Amino acid sequence: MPVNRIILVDDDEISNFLSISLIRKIDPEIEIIPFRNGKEALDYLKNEGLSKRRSNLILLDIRMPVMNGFEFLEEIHNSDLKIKDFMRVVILSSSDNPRDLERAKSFEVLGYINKPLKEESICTYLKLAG
Amino acid sequence: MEDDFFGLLTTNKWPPRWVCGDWTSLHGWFYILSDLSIGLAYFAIPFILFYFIRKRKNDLPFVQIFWLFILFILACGTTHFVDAALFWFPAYHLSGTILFITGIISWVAVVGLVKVLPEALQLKTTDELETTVSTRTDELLASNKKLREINSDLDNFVYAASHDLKSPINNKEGLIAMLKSTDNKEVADEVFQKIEQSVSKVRHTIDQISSVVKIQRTEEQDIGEVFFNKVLEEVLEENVNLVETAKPQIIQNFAVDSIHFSHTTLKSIMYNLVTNALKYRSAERDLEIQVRTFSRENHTYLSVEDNGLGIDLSQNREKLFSIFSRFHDHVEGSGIGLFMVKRLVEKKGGDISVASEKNKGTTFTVKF
Repeated sequence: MPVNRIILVDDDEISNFLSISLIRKIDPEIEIIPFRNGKEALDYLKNEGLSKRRSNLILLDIRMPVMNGFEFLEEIHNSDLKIKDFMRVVILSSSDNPRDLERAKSFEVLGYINKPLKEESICTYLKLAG
Repeated sequence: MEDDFFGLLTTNKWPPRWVCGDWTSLHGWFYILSDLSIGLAYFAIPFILFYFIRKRKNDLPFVQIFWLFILFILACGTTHFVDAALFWFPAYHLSGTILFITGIISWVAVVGLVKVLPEALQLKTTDELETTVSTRTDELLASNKKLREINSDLDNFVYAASHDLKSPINNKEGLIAMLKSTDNKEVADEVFQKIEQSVSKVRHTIDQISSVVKIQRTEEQDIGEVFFNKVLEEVLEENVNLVETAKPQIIQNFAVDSIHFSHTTLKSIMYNLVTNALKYRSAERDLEIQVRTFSRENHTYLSVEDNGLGIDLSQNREKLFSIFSRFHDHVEGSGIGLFMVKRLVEKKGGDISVASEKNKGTTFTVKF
C-alpha cells in the first residue's frame, strides 16, 4: 500500500515549509500532518492512533525542544501503543554528529536523511515504505 | 733484624702465635679457621655490593657511601687474614698498620653515614612511594576524566553549533531553489521573507556561539564588591521590553547585600535566571519573581524563584543544563542560557540547583 500520509515532526518552520512544498510537488495526494516536536506528535498518535487504512511514514527531526526525536522514539518503543509494530520512521536531520547517527541506528528506523530533503531521497523512502 | 719493607714485615723476634702460649691444635685451628671464614665473607661482600652498584648505577642514592662500605669491609677482612697469619708469621707491625688503616676507614665511614643520615631518613619507604604513586594516579585519572568531559562537551558544542548553523543554510538553499522555479509574485515574497528569517537565525546563532566562547575564556578583571540589588537593577533595565510585557511583581530580599565576585559574571548569572523567569511565565496568573540572597554555612546563596510554567524535572534534570536543549518552544530561546550559568558558577567553584513543579513555578539556587 503506497504511503498516503506523512507525519512530519520538526520544529524548524522553514524546513517544514520546504519539505511540505517538495512532497506536494511529488505527490499532491499525500496528506501531510506537521508537528513541532515529539511531544505533539506522540499526543496525536496516542489519541488518533495510526489508522490501518492509511499507510504512514514519519519524518522525524532529532533536535527539537520539549521532546526530541530520540525521546519520541524511546517513548513509542516503551509504550504499549500498537503503532510501534507498523510505524515507519525516517530520521530527517541536519545533525552530522556521529553519535546521533549511531543512536538512530539503535532504533528500528527505515533510514536517515541528512537535510535538506531532496526529491530523490523522499522518493526512495516513499517506495521503501509503500 | 732491621727494617725491610719499611719495617712492616719485621717480626722482631716475636714468637709466632702457635708457640706463644699453649695452643692445642684444636683451639688453634678453631681460631684460624674462624678468622679465615670471616675474612672470606668480608671479601665476598664487596663483590656483591660492587655488582649491585653497577646494576643500579642510575638510581642508587648515596653511591659514595656504598664505595666507602666496600673499602671498610675489605679492610676489616684483611685484618682477619693477617690475624690468622700471625700463627706462623708474627708481623705485628703489619697487623698494627692494617688495623690503623681500617680504623681510619671505619671512622670515615661513620662520619659519611652520619652526614647522609638526615637525607637517608627522607627516603620514602616502598609503602610511602606506593601511596604517593596511587594518589598521583588518582589525581591523573580524575583530571583525565575531567579532560574527557571537557572534550566531549566541546564535541557536543561543535556539533550542536554546526547543526544550528547548517539548518538555516540548508533552508536558504532550498528557498533559493524555490525562488528560481517560481513566477508567482506572492510565493516569491513569502520565500524572500523566509530567507530573511534564516539569515537572522544564522546571525543569532553566531552571536550565541561567540558569547559562549567569551565566557569560556574570560579572565575576570572586574572582581570586587558587587551589590546584588545593583546588578538586578541593571538586568531589569536591559530587559525593559520584556519587563513591560511580563509585568512582574519583583520581591527583593537581599539578606546578603554584596559579594566579592566578578561583576560581569554575576550579571550574566542573574541575567539568565531573571530573563528565564520573565520569559517562561504562566498565562494563568500574574508573574511574581522573588530574588533572594542568604548565607548558610559560610556560603552565600542567590535564589531566583518564579511562579511560572515550571518544568517536569523527573525526566529532564540532566538535560536542563545541557547546551542547546529547550523545554518550551513558544518563546525565543537558544538553549544556551542555563548551560552558561552552570559553567560560570562551576568555574568559580560553586554550584547551581533547581527545584520546579509543572504549572507551579521554578526556583534556581546558586551557591557561591
